[in-house]
Amino acid sequence: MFENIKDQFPIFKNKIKGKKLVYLDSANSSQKPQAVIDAVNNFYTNEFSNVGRGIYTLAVNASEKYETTRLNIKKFIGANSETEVVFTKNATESLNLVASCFGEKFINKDDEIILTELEHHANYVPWHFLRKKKGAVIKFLPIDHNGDLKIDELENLITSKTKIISVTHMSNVTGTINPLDQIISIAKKHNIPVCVDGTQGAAHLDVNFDQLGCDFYAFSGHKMYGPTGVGMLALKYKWLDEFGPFLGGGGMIDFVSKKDIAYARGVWKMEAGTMPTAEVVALNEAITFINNLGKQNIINHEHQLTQIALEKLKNNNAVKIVAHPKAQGGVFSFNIDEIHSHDVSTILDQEGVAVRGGHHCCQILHDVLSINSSVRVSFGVYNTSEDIEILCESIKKCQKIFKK
Amino acid sequence: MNTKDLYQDLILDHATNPKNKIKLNYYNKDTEGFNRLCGDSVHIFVHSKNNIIDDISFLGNGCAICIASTSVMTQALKGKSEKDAFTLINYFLDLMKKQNNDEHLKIDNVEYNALNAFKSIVNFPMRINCATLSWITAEATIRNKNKQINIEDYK
Repeated sequence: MFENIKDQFPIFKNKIKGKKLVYLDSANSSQKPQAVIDAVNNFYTNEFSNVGRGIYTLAVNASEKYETTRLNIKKFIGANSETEVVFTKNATESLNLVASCFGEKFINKDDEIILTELEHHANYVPWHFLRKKKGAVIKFLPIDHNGDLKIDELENLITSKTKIISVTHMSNVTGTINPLDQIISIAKKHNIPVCVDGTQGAAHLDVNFDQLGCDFYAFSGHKMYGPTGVGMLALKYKWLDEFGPFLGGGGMIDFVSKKDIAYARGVWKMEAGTMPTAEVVALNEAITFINNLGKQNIINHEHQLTQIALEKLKNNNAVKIVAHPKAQGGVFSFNIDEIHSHDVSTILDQEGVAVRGGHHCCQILHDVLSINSSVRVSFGVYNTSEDIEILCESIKKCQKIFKK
Repeated sequence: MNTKDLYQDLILDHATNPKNKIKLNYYNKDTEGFNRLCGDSVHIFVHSKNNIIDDISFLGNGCAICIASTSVMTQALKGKSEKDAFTLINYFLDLMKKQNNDEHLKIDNVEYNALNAFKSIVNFPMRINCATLSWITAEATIRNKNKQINIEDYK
């Protein structure tokens, strides 16, 4: 669909072990288009200043650019006027912000938090902190053998003590797209706020925060062709009033005296210290890149590649796909009979194929699926059906080595 | 450096048919070793009497390198005095650091070849822990030091 798109990503000019790079790890982090790389360079070369502090020309311009990204991010995720976007370090920090600030105020001993068996550790560990600190209880909505949530069981998990539901938009292992509409509508019935881990979703699915009606949506820039170092948290404005600050420092205060401190309001309360300024500014180019290609076109492209790959791998009896969800994004994981995922990953690397082996920060999911680890394939806008051919051939080489 | 240098026949043989992969009926020392980064785990059982390793075995999950290295390790250490076992363990760990000191070591050819089959791993830095996990765990077992170890702490 996107002919010559690799030309926009300078990394594909490089050879890996003398081979063409077949990058199949976009669920981990995406490669960067030249426009984003240039934007980082240009900001440091011509426009650098910290934001929100100085009143000189450079500072004013930098602040304006920083806020332009925020505005465009809001549009990108379909946020309405009652929604704010806070910049953080990454999606993990965004989820920690929610767990920490929400937990501090609203979670007490024996209160319940509902997660799912599909969660990345980033959407489990911060809640585990609350279990340790406050004596909260964590419940997991289970999955079925296809890797889909047993959504019918959600009502049964909810009690009068349920304080929040936190769920991923899309699994980074199985590619399962969760029925957020259903989850949020059930949660609303019980007046329970919903936090969505949108780390995969923001980059690879259609997101409309306003329509979804969730309270929090956490995501990161580096998975959507932007620089590392920027995470985002979209949240309904009322939570910024409800929450105490996440981190303390410069920029998040209104007034400081020896006796007391008044905190800034709105997003400023949550953005303490110098932020990843150049990265936020360059992220704007990543949004432009996606908007120019059309998000829906990218989604279709990745969906199509996933279907082609799954279809091709059906011909190889030794390849076992770990889950077959009803709705699947551009990610799937597999194991090859008798060959460990790290061996597969090492051998594929020799062919220039970058895939991830291991538990992908989802140990609970791997336990539930009764597997020790898996090899993950994930697509981005730059992948082609030729990449899939090379993947399939490399898998055969793997099998050949192990058969001797 | 190609893949076949890493996945030599000896390694593949041990990976697919590991030796001593069983829990000993009688053991007086055991340690579980973990590589938390990748999920490899080996549980080593040792029966030692009068400073001699009478018997040694393991249970575990891991990649071909990890399982093969563990299998070779149990074969190499079985019947050795604890002192000789430590010498061999150090030899292997040095090999993984590209430090060769084989002139000081009296080991037979079979052992030498088995241990040196892993030599190429130094060219795959992400995989060195796969090979060293069981040797480091075995040392802890023989010294009867820890019940559980994490390889990240032994760098």
